[in-house]
Amino acid sequence: MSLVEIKGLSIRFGSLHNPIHAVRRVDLSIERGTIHGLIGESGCGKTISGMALLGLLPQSARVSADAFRFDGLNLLDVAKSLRGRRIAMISQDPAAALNPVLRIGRQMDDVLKSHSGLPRFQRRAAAEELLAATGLADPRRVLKSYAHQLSGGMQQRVVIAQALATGADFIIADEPTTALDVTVGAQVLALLKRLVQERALTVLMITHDMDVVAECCDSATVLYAGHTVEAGRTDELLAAPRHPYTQALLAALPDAVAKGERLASIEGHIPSPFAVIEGCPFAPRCASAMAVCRQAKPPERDDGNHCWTCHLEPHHG
Amino acid sequence: MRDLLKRLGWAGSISLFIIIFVALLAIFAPAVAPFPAQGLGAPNIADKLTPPSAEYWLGTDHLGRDMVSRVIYGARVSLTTGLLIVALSLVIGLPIGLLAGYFGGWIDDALMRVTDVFLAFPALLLAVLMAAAMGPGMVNATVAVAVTWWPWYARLARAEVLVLRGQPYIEAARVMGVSHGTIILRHILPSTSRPLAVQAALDFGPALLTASALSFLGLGILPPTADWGQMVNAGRAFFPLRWWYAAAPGVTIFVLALAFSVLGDALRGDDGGQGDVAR
Amino acid sequence: MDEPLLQIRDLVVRYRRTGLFSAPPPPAVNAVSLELPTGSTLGLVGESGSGKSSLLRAILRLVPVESGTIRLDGDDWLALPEQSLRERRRAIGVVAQNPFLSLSPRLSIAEILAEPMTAQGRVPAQESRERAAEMLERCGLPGTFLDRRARELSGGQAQRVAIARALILQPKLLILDEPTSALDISVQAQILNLLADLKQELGLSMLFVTHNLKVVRHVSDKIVVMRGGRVVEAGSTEQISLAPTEAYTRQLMGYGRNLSGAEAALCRNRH
Repeated sequence: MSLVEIKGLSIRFGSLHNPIHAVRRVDLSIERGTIHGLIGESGCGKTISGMALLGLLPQSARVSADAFRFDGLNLLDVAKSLRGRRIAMISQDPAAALNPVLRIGRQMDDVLKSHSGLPRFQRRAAAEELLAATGLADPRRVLKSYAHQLSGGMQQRVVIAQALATGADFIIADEPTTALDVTVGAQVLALLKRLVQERALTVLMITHDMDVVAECCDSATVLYAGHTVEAGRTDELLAAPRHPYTQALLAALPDAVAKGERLASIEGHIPSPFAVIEGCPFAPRCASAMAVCRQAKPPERDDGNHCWTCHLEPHHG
Repeated sequence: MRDLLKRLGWAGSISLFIIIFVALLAIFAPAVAPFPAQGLGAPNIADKLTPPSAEYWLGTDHLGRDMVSRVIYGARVSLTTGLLIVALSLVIGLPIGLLAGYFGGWIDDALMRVTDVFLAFPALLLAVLMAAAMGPGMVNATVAVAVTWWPWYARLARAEVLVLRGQPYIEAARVMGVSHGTIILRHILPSTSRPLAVQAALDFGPALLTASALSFLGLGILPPTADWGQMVNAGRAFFPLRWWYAAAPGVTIFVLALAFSVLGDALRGDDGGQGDVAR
Repeated sequence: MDEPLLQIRDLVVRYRRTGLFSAPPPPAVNAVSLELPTGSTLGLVGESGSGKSSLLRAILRLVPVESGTIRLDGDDWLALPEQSLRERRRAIGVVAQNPFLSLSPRLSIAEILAEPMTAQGRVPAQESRERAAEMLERCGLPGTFLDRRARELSGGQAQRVAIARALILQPKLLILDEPTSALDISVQAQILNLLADLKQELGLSMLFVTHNLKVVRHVSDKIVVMRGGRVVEAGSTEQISLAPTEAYTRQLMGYGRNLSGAEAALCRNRH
């Protein structure tokens, strides 16, 4: 059974008559012990979906779903109690996630105190061990430091160590490398990959960066305008994308064409969150859109380890 | 107007109405005061120290003058003084803060050390010294208070500019060759005007109080011109037996100072939109 | 061959010491030399602390330069007095990373585009508006956008406005500081296409600063890699991306291929 199983998730804000559709129809299925990418451009609902998993949505959000399960538990009931015990979060900006006026040691200890039940002297050893596990060379010095004395990469490692300290087995990483330099970001991804293997973790990697997905995700889900449009194993998804949006997104990358040639850009804009979408959300911008695409919801298609929603018949060969 | 009231909330709206009401009373004092002549100072010894009654709503003072008329005429002086103090402080403090914050370096050092010297003196003490040296009178009282107040505006303006100066759009303007003067007037001044307006509204009450305090000490407005602080001082001699004499101007000062404070808070609390108000 | 549009020789930038008795900090830019031939695009790659921002600020004369020379379009750029600098600045247009921060929030698009023109002297309102509308259309936005404000635009639209502003005085050199890293992939493609078109139409030379190696490989003729204030490697795009000689460049360019190598490299650096 998958660790996370979400079907038909919808999240709305605002009035009943004119709601803001933050998430319209998201399906997400994450296997244990894998890194799963949640890909999409701004406004596609990827961060909001992650917040729903954490139980961090504001009171005003109206959430509905056909299925919203974590390890068999219905998250619509228990999300708040799982946050910090089984589900942890790594955010984009590690500097903002750490308290600037407390030493790292104090912050690690606070987490361990509320989660481990260890006595004080053992907590200190545990904190050192966790920091060492995230590849920090001198955990004792780090424990005595303040956040601003550490580099961005070291801060992100401390945040990861804190997530491990909660004992969580599922980590939601929201753009964990965007604020970091390229080489440092690559190190953080490598660390996450190693931790997933060593500690049987599961990671949901929220990102807009195809390189990050290619680099570290076993599988991925592509969102567009609050809809899941395609999901599957990363190699399949990147090598043979089925949904026209995924195809267009990959074609827009600067390395998709020879140097100096024009990039394939997607014309038009994402639909407004107020819009009522009858057919396929991508139809107005899709190069191969047909009449039916604007009228009816596209069917779900599946070719074994790869599923997508589109009216176009899959062509083989 | 409705939008403004919605932004201010009920407390801010009530405060705004109180301030407008008092301002209107002050402007139309000759028409609204029951005894305009007494408001201006004409004695009416026959009715001296009458308690509040149908004829004299707030009683009369030791020269028999109607307290309602005296308080209304006092509003003219007090509001003008408050306005002048805040305006004068802004006129001195704002340019100094802008220049210090924008240019930095030795200009900043020099201007801010001067500012610190003025900040080091207790405001009221300095005002008392100045007023004593220059002699009593409304203009002197105003100048005396403003001299002790402008450093706060200079500090505030400088802090705002330091934040703004690092904004990419300010740097973009510099790179395009826009002159320093244009950048200050066009990009920086409009963005600082909002926090400064809030500060001015908050300060109006204390300005009133300080001016009243000077009058109370005999260093501000001289009789027979009606002034709230000076009236409280005169009424003190008859308190608590003839309580209305000191209470009428005292309560008015209190209410008005409170109204400005609440209004300033309401303005500060509203940070929606990026300063369309300030343009 | 013609003189390059931009020529930097042994440039050193060092910031003020922090306290009276503290040692002077190491130079932020250390003996950097580079050339940007007219009509070409130079990619400048570096991570935070590499000195690329200080180099840009030195070219824009926003920081004092300790030693070295910058020649721009035949001028000894650092020797220009403040007065003539203001007039000569029109030779450079700049586009910053985040358009919402680099466009004043309280001005209309028309006012934003008019600002560089008025900085160079009085321009009649009608003419300024016409030129603004023309440049806006060149950058792919209709003239009706003139009366909007920056915060009403999408990220891609705002960046188009920023590009229009940078180009409105017909500069010879366009400096782009991470112009697409705040944008979505599909919008990034639009902006990169627009820049390619503008370069061709207007005969621009570009200095393109980024940490996105795919982008820099796509747009640049030559690439300069900076680290710790120095140029560690420079050469043609093909040479740098296919056969980098420096280990650091390989590490940068190899991102996306060998992650375990990246972590191993970090461990080595620490010990």
